[in-house]
Amino acid sequence: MTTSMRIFSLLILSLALGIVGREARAENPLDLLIVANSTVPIDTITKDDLKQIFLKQRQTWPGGQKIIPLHVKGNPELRNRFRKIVLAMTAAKEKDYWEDQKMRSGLKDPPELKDVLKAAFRLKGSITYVLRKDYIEGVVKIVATFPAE
Amino acid sequence: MKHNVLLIVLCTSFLPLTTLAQEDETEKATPAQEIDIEALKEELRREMREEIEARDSENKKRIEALEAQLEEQELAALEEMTADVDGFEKYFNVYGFFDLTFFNIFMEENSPYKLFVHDRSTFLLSNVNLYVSSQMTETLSALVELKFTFAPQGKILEYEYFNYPGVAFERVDTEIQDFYSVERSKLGGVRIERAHMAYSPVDWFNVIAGRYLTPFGIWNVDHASTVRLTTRVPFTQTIGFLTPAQTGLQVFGRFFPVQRVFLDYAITLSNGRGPINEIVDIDDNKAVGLKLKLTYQADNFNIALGGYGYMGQVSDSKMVLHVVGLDPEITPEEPIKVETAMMMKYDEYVVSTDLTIEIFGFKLQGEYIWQRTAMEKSPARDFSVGLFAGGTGMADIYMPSYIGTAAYGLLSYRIPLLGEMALTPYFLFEYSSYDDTADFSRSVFYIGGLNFAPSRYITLKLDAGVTKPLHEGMGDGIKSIAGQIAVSF
Repeated sequence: MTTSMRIFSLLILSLALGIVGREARAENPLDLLIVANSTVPIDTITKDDLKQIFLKQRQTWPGGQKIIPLHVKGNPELRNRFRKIVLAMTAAKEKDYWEDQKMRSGLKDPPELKDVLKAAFRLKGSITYVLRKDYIEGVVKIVATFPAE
Repeated sequence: MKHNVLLIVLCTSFLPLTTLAQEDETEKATPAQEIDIEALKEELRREMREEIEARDSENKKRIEALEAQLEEQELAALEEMTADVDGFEKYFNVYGFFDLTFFNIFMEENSPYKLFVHDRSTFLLSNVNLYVSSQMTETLSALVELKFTFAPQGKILEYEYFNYPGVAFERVDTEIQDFYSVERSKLGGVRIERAHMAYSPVDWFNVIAGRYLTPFGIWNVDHASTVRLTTRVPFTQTIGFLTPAQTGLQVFGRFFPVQRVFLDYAITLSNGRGPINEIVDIDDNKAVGLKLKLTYQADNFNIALGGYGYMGQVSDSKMVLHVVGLDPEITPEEPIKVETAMMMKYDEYVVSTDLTIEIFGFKLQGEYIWQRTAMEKSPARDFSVGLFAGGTGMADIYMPSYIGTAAYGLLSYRIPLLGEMALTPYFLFEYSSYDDTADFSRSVFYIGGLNFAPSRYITLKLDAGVTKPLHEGMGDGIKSIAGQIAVSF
């Protein structure tokens, strides 16, 4: 085997391993999934858009449907992870933000629900987040995934 | 008891005999049973396999049935949970804030600043604001903000002038006495800061109708003492180059041209400013304004640049009655005529800009405001202001057209502490010249302080400041220390 063939083989192997690695990571039960009600007119969403939605800076989906962001209740670990990844804020900063919004325009922070998956299934225009292990196929649609670290 | 003892004795007596008989039978049967045991083992294995398979099958059926049952229960619970939700969050909230400030201002014994600020240490309760907000339908909401105040208690109506008899110092006293209990109390006032409904069908188009906060700068819309860093509002804001609130309509919205960027706009149409603008526009001229604000928002870096332009007319008029017998031109056939006479009229043009930069805990915010006032019929200046402006004695001095400018920059750094607590040191620099025809109005301000939020509902502030006039006639200026506790509820 020539040197160039060896390099080529290694490249193919590493690519294959990379794909396998990604496949394996994609199935991690601790992945953070952003899920939305089936009526939501988008199939993918960026982290920046999510931040705007959960800070209520953006309140309607394309087409005018109201966005209903839902925070998870009773799972501070998941809530903190979402805050860190998507909002890029500390708990204190987020508290200040909503205090400011409340006084500025009467805007209220998103509601917190214990079973967000059920709520997202039912509420038109809603969007929330769950761990992959809690996700139920067909109930809501996945619009973004943040792999477990 | 006797029966039990007898039974034990009998059992122990026959036990050895029984054991011997069993041993004897086992020895005799051994060769024949070896073959039977193998067959029996096979038979047992087969039976066990069959039984396990049967149990597996039964378990599978039970699991399937339970899963179906669970799914039914989950769906039923889901229906129950969201049956009263129409796709939006309906709410009615009452909340608010108030603050208590302690301050002490230091100045020279006969400083002219005594006309404007109290120079003794004092506690001050100046903000008690109550909010009522409601989301009635998916697109309709309402917001009312009321400010409760002890004003006009204590307002100085007139100064006393040395060597000028006939003018006495006068202060408003709102004390009243109850007719029955003779208990004495002081009446206060309620100021409607804003009261409006909003129609919000989409992000890019919303309409507000009612009395709304003028959408300029940062401080005017973020005026709650619980969310602002300093103990007092910058002079740039309180100077009133722009009316803080307007009565009329506002169209506003937000566009998202590219990722991380949004553009806000607002168009205002209102009565503008005037002596009774909250309820009546004295002239037909409506004030118009346009706001544009561009925001870039990343994880640890935010920047927002905004501007608001405003054009309006301020006027005041009086009604003069011409009645028969007093006015020779009035006849008994038309015994009364009402003349509307203009007392004051001027146009105002205002431009304000604001900038906010946030980067890794540092925050820099600044506002600049420029106002041009073009007099058509000038009002009289306040007596004291007239004197400072170079007037003489009691002569009437009318306000000329003028330009006012003011700007401030506020730098802060947020230090997160445990939980929701944060400590924020800040420094504010400010410049103002509220009337370019009155040189004494130019001043600079320096304020440094600490803002500490120990909980979600409490904010503590401590600051010290220096005000330096840029005009010799105003003396050395003033120094101040202030502490404030702001509470949101």
